[in-house]
Amino acid sequence: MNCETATDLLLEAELSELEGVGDTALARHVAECTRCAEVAQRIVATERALAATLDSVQSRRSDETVRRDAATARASRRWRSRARVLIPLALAAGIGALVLLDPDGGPPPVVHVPVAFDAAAQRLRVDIPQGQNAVLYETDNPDVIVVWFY
Amino acid sequence: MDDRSDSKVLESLVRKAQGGDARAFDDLASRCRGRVYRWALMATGDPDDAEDVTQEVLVSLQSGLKGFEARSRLTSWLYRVTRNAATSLHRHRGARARAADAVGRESDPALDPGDWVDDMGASGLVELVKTFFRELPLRQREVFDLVDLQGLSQGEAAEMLEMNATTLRVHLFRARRTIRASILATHPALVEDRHA
Repeated sequence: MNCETATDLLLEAELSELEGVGDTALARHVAECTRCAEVAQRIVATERALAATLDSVQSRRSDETVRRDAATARASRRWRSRARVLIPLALAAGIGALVLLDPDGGPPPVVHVPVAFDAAAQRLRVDIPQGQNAVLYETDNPDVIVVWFY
Repeated sequence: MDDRSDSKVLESLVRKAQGGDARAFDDLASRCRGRVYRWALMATGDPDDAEDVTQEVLVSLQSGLKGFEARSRLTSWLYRVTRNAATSLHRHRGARARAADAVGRESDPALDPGDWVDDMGASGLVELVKTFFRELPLRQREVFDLVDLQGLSQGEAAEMLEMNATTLRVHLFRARRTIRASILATHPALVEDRHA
């Protein structure tokens, strides 16, 4: 193998071949040719320096900070997922309470809350028991609608 | 610690953490954090973004641990989560090209680059880091980092990246060509002398 061919092969070779280890034509050439060995060693050394440079870039946060931040993020996520269910329920309960505590003492007004349905979806039918009213409340979850009888 | 015993320790910690052992989870997160940060750095090319991705992955580790099945290796699973988090972050913030400068700024200034790169100098090394982040596409960067810089076998890297062996070698060879051509370009005399 001549040096020109070796130069091209050095660009893709395994690191062990660059160090002259193994029984490939390139490894044998590197083991015998001082100049190619010099180029190969330079590549190996520079790649090691690159690895060390990247290794030296470390996270600046302490374990404790990361744990605390992760716990905060988890709590925030939990709250958001619960809020999606709890807020509509709380609103529905609030409306129900207002209706029941009506100071006029008259018949409870009927509260209409518009509920949007997907045209392709099955129509929702709610049978309201005799003498009762109902509040329908749409939630963020399209599969969940709160029906409040009072 | 070799790769096999490291895997066993992680598996054991996963089982304990799945059983509700908070201390085991802390230990697991602590052991995984460094490598997740490195993967995130490769994927984002930015130390600050890598911090954010690492944080996101550790949150996902806790929330997803119960559903994690031992059939796949934890490191492979974490790698996928890291890549997804990095992709999501970039989509959210827009791709940035400040990677190499930031890495050059944050690398250890006391680092001894070794005799062979003395004449290349610290600035030459920073240029190489820039080449690494700017000229290598993500897949090539990941493969080159795992195999040539971190010393994984090609089989381990292929498993982690969920890539077949042939594709991995294509990426690896292309990455090596780019990086090594860049190294030799800083020493033209060395190459020219040989053809004189």
